[in-house]
Amino acid sequence: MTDADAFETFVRNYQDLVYGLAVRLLGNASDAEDVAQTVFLKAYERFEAIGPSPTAGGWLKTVTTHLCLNHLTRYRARWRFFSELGRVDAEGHEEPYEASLAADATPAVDLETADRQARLEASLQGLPAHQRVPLVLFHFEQYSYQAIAEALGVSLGKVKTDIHRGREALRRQLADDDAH
Amino acid sequence: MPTDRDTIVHDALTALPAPRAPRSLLPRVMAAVAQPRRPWYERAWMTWPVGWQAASLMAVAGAAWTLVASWPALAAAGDVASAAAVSSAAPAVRLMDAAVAALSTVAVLHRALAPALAVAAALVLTMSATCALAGAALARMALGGASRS
Repeated sequence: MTDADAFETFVRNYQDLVYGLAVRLLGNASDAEDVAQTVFLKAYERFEAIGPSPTAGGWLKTVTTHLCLNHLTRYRARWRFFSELGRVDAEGHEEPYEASLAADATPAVDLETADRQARLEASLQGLPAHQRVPLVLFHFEQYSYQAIAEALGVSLGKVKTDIHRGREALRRQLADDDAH
Repeated sequence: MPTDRDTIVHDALTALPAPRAPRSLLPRVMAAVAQPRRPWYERAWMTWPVGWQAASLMAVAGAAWTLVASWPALAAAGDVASAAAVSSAAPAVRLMDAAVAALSTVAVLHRALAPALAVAAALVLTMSATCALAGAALARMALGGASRS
């Protein structure tokens, strides 16, 4: 196996992990793809060390989080809405964001559950960045409140408030789903 | 302490399937990787190898120290050079004097001949206009207005 083949396998193995974290932190598919590409280019530069390492996933997550936070800091004023989360595939067709979530659904998975999850994911993506980012770091990346406060450079109280408000918004979404 | 409501949200979030990478990501990454990398010295200084960064810093510091240390000698050399330049510039000064004299002569001639030049210019313009009118009249008579069609 050549280096290029090995690296392609590496990207295949980790692309969902990197992209999934980026799109949840950034709330934007296009920016997430750009960040994911940058992460893999950084990985390529030190592939000899990272490629065979069992901690490659952790390294990729750390770099992805760091790049996403930098990106959000740089483009803080620029807001995107969930309606822009559609992505264009290789043939130029627009792929709805929900399609990528439902695509994993096997026949065994209830369609209603998949639909509910897609709506919850949409709600998560639709949260403002100051609520979404700490929420994602806390629930998906197991960061502590203190670690989030340090990573974002904000007070511990603000982190707790933002996570609480984000959770409340998602809980309302879940309650609405249950009511229907 | 997490409340039940927090737990519900946490469970719902952690049950979400991970978003899948778009199909375009892998080709994009592999295409970017396939591009030949620029040599280190053509990239931003921050991305240079540490050894070369240190060497370049030392080179810049050395150049700055050399400049500061040799400043008196450079200043003295500058004085000598400017004195030599003054002495070697005598032919240029003579040439400049000749050019100034020639321009003065042209100015005097212009003042003397300006009224005559104005009359001559008016005469040339009048003659040109007369010729143009005569030509147009002749063409109209010869073609009988056919050109108007």
